[in-house]
Amino acid sequence: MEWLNEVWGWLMTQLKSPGVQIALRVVAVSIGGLVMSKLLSAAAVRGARDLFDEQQRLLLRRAVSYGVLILAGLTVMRELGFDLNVLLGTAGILTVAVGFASQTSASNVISGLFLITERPFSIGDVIKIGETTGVVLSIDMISVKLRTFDNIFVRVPNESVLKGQVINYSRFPIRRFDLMLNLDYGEDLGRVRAILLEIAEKEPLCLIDPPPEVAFVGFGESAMQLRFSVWLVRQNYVKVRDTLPEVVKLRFDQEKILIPFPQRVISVRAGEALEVTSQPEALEGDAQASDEPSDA
Amino acid sequence: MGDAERSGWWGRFTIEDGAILRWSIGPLQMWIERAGPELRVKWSHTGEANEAREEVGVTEEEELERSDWTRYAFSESPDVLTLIPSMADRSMVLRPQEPMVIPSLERATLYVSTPTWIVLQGGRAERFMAEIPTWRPSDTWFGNFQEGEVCYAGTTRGRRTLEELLVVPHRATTAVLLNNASSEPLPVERFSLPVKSLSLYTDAAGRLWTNGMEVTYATAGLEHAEVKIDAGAPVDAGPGCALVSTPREKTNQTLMHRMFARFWR
Repeated sequence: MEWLNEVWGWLMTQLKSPGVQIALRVVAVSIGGLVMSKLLSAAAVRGARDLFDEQQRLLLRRAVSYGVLILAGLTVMRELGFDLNVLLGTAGILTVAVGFASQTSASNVISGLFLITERPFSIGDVIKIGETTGVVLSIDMISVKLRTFDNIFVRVPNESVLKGQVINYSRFPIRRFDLMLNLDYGEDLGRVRAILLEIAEKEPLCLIDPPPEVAFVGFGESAMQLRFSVWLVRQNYVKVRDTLPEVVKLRFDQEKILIPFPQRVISVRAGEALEVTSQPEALEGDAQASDEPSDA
Repeated sequence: MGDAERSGWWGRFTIEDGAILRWSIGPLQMWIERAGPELRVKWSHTGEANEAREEVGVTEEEELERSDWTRYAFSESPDVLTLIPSMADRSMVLRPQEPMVIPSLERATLYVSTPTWIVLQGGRAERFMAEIPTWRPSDTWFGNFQEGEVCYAGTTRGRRTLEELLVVPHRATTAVLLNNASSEPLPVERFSLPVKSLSLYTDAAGRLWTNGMEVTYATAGLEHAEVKIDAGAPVDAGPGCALVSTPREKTNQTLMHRMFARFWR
């Protein structure tokens, strides 16, 4: 048992040495810092549950957690004997250098902060940014992640979201669907209007209020143009967009209402003879030519 | 068939193995077939919204399309089927026969009727199977462009007297007492009826009724009004009323409901 006492005595003297004491303090501060960052960030999120949405709470959690970790890191450095004044001075210069280098990231982070406070859309909304339409998966510090309807992941930098136009299809509960129609000049507009309004009334997904509308757009080159607008609950939009044109077409066929092809009326002034010739051979030749594969 | 526990198209029905029962309730056509441990259900809306049909019987129709049946599987052969009428699953937006104005501090009763839904329960244990509307009313929006509620649009208009109201087997009658307690006249063009909070009753003749309600409009310009739902069967239904189903939503006797909206007009 003699050796055990010796080891104990040696340990005691080692523990009293300044080096080991510093190491112990560093370990204690590191562990304490990690635990505190977890506890404090969780507490902050819990306290702010009613004030912020999910995205803002995530941001708060990160800010508190990193803040505590940085403080712990600085304390550890002081314990290890670093002069913090020199370090902070260096950090200033470093910040400028890093700032220049990470201009894009920084601008994205700032844009992200604006996005989170302005909240033009939230997670789960269907939005269109530039040419991309999709469901918002997450709004992060640097980018917004979307899932398009053909199931492709798209990452859009926050800066371009902030700079460009964003269309949010999910913000309001009801939407209008417009069906553009061309009608023959021979049709009775009043009759067509009545038929269209009846279709909207019979389709249960078309809202009665706000009322459906048949608006006259203009006299086109070969047709009168109408806009048939129905209001829908957002969730039914795609369904009605796909079914309503079919219903209208079927009903028009039943009622013998024509959707005209483009047409030209050619008038010839009196006294000027119009010579009409046909060249069947030439036409046949052309047709044959066009039938041939282009690479032959 | 012929159980004492039912009157009209709802209640408990016994169904033989292999038999098809057919219901015609207003615009709804429904067929239920028992095939061993399964019940098969098929339904469609034919007819107009206010059709007055009411027929129940065993059918021998051979030409029924076999495709769009929904099959319900049970552990034991379900020889009993229960149909319970219930109110619609959203508020109903209704209009009076003609737009009317209730002067300040006046009150007026409107009688309205709304289509019911059917709760289907299978077997002696009355397991919930499905819910079927006797008529699928059109959707409508009650609110403004930015917020509001999806409702059903009523197909009939409110009447000032009970005699004027169309009585059809699949619709329930509600008496709405509109009480204008504000200092301004109240224009009643359309209003939303919180049918989810109403119970269903049947009178001695088998007609469906809901609780009556009193709507107190206290502040001019406000969309919300205080709705007080009467306890028990409505007085208009006479004596001998029986409870058919309880409300979908358990609410207080008094609730604040977005009753009037004046948009897009």
